[in-house]
Amino acid sequence: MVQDPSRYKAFKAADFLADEYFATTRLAKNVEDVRFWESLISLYPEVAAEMELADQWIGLLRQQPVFKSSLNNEARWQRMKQALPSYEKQQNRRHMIRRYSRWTARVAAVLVSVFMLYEVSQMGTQVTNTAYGERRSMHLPDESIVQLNSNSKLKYVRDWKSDKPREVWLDGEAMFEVQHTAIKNRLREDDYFIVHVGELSLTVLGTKFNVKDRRDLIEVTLIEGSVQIENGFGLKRVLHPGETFVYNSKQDTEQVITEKIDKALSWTRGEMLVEHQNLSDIIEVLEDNYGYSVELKDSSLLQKRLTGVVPLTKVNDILFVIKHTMDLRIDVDRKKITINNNN
Amino acid sequence: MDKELLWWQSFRMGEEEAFKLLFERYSPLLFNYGYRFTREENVIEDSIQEFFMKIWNNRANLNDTVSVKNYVYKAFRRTLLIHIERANRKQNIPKEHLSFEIELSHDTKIMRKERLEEIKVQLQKALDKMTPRQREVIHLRYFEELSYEEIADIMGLSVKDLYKLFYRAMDSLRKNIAPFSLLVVLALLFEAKSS
Repeated sequence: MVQDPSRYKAFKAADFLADEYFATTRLAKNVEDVRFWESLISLYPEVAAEMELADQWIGLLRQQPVFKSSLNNEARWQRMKQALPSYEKQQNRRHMIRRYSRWTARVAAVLVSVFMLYEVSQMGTQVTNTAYGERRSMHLPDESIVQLNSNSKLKYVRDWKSDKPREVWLDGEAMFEVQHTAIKNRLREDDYFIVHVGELSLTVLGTKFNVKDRRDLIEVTLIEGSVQIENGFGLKRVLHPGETFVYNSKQDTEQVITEKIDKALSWTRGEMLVEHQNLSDIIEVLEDNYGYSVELKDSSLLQKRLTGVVPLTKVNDILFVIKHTMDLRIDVDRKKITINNNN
Repeated sequence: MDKELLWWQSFRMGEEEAFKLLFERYSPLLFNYGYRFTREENVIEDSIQEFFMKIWNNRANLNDTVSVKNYVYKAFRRTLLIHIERANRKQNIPKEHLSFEIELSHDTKIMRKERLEEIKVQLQKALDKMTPRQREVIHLRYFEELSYEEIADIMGLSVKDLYKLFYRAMDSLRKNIAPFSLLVVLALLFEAKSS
């Protein structure tokens, strides 16, 4: 190790002590290194006293008294040999316990994660989709009943235990029978049930109502109770039983009409109640609920009116009814329906 | 190859003779080291015993080592600290408290000059003002003559943190060394030259 002597010119004793080269030399006493320190003294006599002091310190630290136990090596060895068998036994037992507890921990971890997964799946967003032609009735966590029409989607967050209102999001058409959870004279936020549909939100307590969101038209028909309709841009309206609120989201127009409640609900029985209605209503159903594309060969066909009940369970039944009551010629090619006058 | 490394390898293969050689070589050194942490001989002896039983029982899983001393000090220190903590808990001594004492020799025979006594007293005072961990670094460096890397390993510190600890110890030393001890040294040197 070659060092530059000038480095040590202004060194104090503590600097020498801390210096790795100095300490190593003093501890190991390599002849060549000792010579370096001697030459340093002749070069810078003023550091001699500092070096000497550092040297004394190292000496003192090295010559610390060695503490001796009352046990000598042989006695200690015998003592350990005696203790060894029971130590080994204890260690083996501990090893077994550790292995056992590691297994129990693993099993517990699996159980916990299964439980957590279940919990998370319960807490997360639930989405129910219905296919074309499918209708489904379901119970929400609060025992409210929702009947979901074909080609519709209902989304909600499972965790309704908090003090937040119950909320669902709807695409398509559904009939709600909301459980009334409020206790008399005590109305809290979590007693509300909110349906988000398009840009509207419908706030209810306990009611029965139908919501239909098709072709930019949202129709809300109230059967029992009351519902408050809002759109976040100032629209606010309370509906009474028997009223149907029609909202055109494209044109931002709204109107309230009164029609037979039965008509709005007929789909839940798998029927369509048709009263002086034209073919276009049925075509909408075919397209919205069954996913067909319908082509009319003659626009005058739209004016054809019909009164009665059309079964909605099967497309063929619908087609059969309109074919015979309206005297039409209907061709079906996979998902495409062509309607023409029967002549 | 280093004699101790040979012992270590034979011991790992289950040679009781080699184990005994290591035991006899290291248990007095460990006792001396342990005595800096605690004055309770039982605690130190129990730690030594447990440490050796542990490595004997576990010999098949032990690694090859570059420095037996480094490994032994490190593993023993860990065992000892557990024992000290256990003993402290019985006496309600806080967990963080871990002392380390350096006691310079009272034996004046090793003093070349009687005036060295003054240097000793000065150094002792400076050491006493350090923190226990600072004293431990000093001890391991100048008494056990271990390298900084080895000391860091034994004390469970990064080398960087160990350097910091060491330089703080040196700062403390500078601060607490009275200037007059230099005069003593000068006088010593002068006497040495003139005699």
